[in-house]
Amino acid sequence: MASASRTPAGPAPAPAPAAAVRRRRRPRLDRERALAVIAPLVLLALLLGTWQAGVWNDLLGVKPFTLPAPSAIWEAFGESGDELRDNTLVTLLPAMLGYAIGNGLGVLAGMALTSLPRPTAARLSAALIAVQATPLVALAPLVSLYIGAGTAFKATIVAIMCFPSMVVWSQAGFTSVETSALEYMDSMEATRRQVFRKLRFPAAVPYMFTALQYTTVLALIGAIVCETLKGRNGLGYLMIEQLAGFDAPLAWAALVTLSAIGIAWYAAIGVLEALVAPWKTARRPSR
Amino acid sequence: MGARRRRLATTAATVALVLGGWYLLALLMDASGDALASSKLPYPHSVLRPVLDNPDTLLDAAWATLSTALLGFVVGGAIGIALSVVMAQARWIEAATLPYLLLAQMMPLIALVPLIRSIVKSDSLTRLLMAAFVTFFIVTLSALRGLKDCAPAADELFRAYDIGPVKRLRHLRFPSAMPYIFSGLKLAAPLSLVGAIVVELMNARSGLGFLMLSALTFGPAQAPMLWAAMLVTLAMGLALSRAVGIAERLLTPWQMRFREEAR
Repeated sequence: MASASRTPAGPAPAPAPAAAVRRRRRPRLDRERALAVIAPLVLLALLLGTWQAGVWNDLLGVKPFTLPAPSAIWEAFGESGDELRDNTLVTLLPAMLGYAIGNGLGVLAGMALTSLPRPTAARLSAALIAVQATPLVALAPLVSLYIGAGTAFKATIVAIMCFPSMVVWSQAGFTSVETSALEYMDSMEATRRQVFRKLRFPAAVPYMFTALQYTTVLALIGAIVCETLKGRNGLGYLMIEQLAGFDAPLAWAALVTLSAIGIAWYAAIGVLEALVAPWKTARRPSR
Repeated sequence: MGARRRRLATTAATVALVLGGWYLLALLMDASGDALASSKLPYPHSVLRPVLDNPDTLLDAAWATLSTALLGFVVGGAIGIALSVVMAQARWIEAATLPYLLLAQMMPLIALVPLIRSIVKSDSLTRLLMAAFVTFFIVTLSALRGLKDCAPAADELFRAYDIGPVKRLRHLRFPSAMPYIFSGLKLAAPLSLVGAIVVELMNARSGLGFLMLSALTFGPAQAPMLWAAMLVTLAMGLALSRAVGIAERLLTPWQMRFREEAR
């Protein structure tokens, strides 16, 4: 992508023999690839090095017990590994539960929307897009009145946060099929169920995976916010508690854990998509 | 004119339906004999009461939240666009930062709130930084995608006329990136508010989140305030994304979908 934009345009050069082209392209590609690997690592090393050396502490004017060095954070993993693992489970399980419920209900609602007449469906999905734009976390204090605390509370908030995105994306997927394909199936006297199973659903799968990846972050955010609001354990609670108790390295270790979970979860959905739905629609949705 | 009247009628009908449903559910909740009935689902008119009685409380809180979130949103967006321009020019900067920008999309950045707060020790600065941070990551990526997505034929034409990189950026790449930038901004707008609200839910001393929390601890008597603050928060998110949409329409009226609508 990048290399294409850098190659000088203008009148195309006379086609060179294939072997010559290959010999000329090879080093350039290798350099691109090396740059893509080395540059991020250099940046990371620079960042961690200056952080470890205390440059950032001096710049921001904060003591090491507020902004601990990377080595201290690394040690916190060793010292409090069990605590981190237990709290990780406390955070992750409700997040995954709410994620499954919210996205599952979202697909069902997307199916229901698709079966409605066009104008009504358009109005409802416009309303849902509007809901997507609201900070749904603000519902957390209210929901806590209904469902005190703990797993059910967290899962509910997470489900509420995931639901609208999945409805919007899955409906977009179900309606992304081409009219000619629908007409063709119609001429073959396919039932609605058949049209759905053979045409609409496969077309919607990539869209659904887009929503599934997008909502992983929302699920973690929802769970963390609930824990800081009303919680006795979990990574979000751990961070607040340790910061209040001046054990900043453990709080940072909790942040690193959360980030790692977020990345792993996102990547896992990507792998799942490659396994379950290796086909891609031509108009692959980007978010 | 007919279409406009019909749209007004649908809006009125929707509002009436929502309010009617709310009254009905609140009536049911009231009749269920739940001790917390007035907190769990108060009547719409009782939610309106704190807004009318002391509008200053709500307005001050809303302003505290909105002003910092908005400032952070603007700052984060501006830095994001600037960085994307730099990244589009220098290959090595892009190579060094792109992986981290992608990874940041998968991390719950909101979890940084307590850590940032412990460092800067100021609620409004934390709100601002958080809003800016969240916006920055989204906008940089979408702007970069846009800057790279200019039509190759147009690019060749510009080069054929020997038009310099600055002019090419201004007249070709930037305009073609605008729709991408705006879609990024639209995605970031609610998140910048979420960032601000989360700061307040974690023991800040001002803002809508703080108002919600304190109303929650004071119990049923303050429940209408909880509801009012919550509804204002949700409405603010809506208004912000609407505002970005309007800005897009004003700044890039040439976009195909706007032209099709106008026809």
